[in-house]
Amino acid sequence: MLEIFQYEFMQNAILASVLASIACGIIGTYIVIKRLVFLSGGISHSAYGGIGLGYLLSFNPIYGAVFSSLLGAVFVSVMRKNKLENEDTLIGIIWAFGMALGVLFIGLSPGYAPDLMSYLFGNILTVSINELILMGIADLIIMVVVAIFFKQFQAITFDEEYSKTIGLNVDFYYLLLFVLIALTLVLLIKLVGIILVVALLTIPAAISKMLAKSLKSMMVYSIIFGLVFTIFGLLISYYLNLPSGSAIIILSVIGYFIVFITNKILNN
Amino acid sequence: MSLAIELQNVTAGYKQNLPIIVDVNLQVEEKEFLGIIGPNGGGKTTLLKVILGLINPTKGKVLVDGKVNNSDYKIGYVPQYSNFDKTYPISVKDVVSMGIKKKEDIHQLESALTKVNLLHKINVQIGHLSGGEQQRVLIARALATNPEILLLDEPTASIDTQTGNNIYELLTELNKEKTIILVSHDIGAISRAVKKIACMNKKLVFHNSKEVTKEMLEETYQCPVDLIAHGVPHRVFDHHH
Repeated sequence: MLEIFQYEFMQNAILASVLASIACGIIGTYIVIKRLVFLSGGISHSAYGGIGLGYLLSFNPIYGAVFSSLLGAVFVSVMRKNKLENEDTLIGIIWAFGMALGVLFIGLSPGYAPDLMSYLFGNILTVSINELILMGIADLIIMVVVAIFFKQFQAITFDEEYSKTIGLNVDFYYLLLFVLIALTLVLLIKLVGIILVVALLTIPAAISKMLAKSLKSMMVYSIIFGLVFTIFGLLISYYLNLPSGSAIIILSVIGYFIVFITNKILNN
Repeated sequence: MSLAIELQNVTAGYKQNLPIIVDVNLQVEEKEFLGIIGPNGGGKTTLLKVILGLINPTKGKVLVDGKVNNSDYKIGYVPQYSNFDKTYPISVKDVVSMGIKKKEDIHQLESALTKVNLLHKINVQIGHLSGGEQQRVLIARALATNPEILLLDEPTASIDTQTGNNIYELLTELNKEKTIILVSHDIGAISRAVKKIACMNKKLVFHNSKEVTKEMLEETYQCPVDLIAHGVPHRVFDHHH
């Protein structure tokens, strides 16, 4: 049954799974802990506007995605910080606006209209070497930054107000965390699609939160769960001829409920 | 005795035209144990945040150890324990060492946990502790930075009376070395431990004593209050003649 690992596209897909699981395990831990799932959804969908703009003005859509998702993230954090509007309302706005702009720009683009579905669900089986290298660099940046600022990130996500009283620059560390989140989102969108990014950031970390006793162990468990879901999802999609993204997400959700129910039973 | 904290005509709030506390004057001496009571939404927490420097006053001055914006003088803050996420995967050790800068300061961590009698739970996840223990962890976190002043926000809210009494005993012990200000809406509980009481409802009423008069309470709660002193071990109210 192992003959599938001989195909280059499969080797790349598995490498992509590993890289995506590492980034999602670390960043997803902060997202789940700090209840930023909806915010991440909003930021990743706001990337859509930039992708569309890239096609319209014929530059690499990934740069557009970086630009518009950072714009979305900054917009939400500035408005929230100054208490001008509720965060969930702002997220709803950037979510819808980003998607609308993306569809509009692609509609206006002359000639060949790219398949927007590929950005929504992505295709881990068509990952290129360049994208893998880019993702590897991103993983490295995430691991180094989190290793250096682990204690600060832990303090601000656990107790923002107390962190201020001990002299931490909370706004700076939040900005840094948001930049890491945006980086992860944008690079993974190209790799696995917007929906799978949200799933990989949320589900492995949510499962790990039920089992982990510390933030570090939660990150490690999240990476392991991410790996298990992506690789088994890929195998299932290959043998049953199913779309890979859907297979990974459905497997993750099944995994979530198995752990959730087992955990409830064991705790009673 | 020198003043640990002094507030001069302080007005502050979250929005420019909507002050939560108005024209507050307060002088807190070193080794003082001040209780601030008042209704919910009366500005007790805001007052603490102004002292901590988390909120800048729109008018007036906050002096800590005689200086404005004094970051040298250490203030230990114990927020309401109901505010944080109890499912957060973090051990007692990691919470308490949050304010400790260097890793080698492990003895600070241990002495803080010994003071609150929780050293044996150092590796337990905070979600697995009782309410009273969680409150003590937050007190230990403040103590670990070796502060000269402790500010506590409703330290006995939503924990049972016995556990609450234990917390007050601990604070009385800590008061031998530290200045303590605590806010609460529970007059009965607070009056057993503190040396002085102030009433806070947008304005602060403080007569530099432990006595709470009917006038103070009526001014604070803005409605007639019946003073019932029974069940309180130490009388807070002046004897009627």
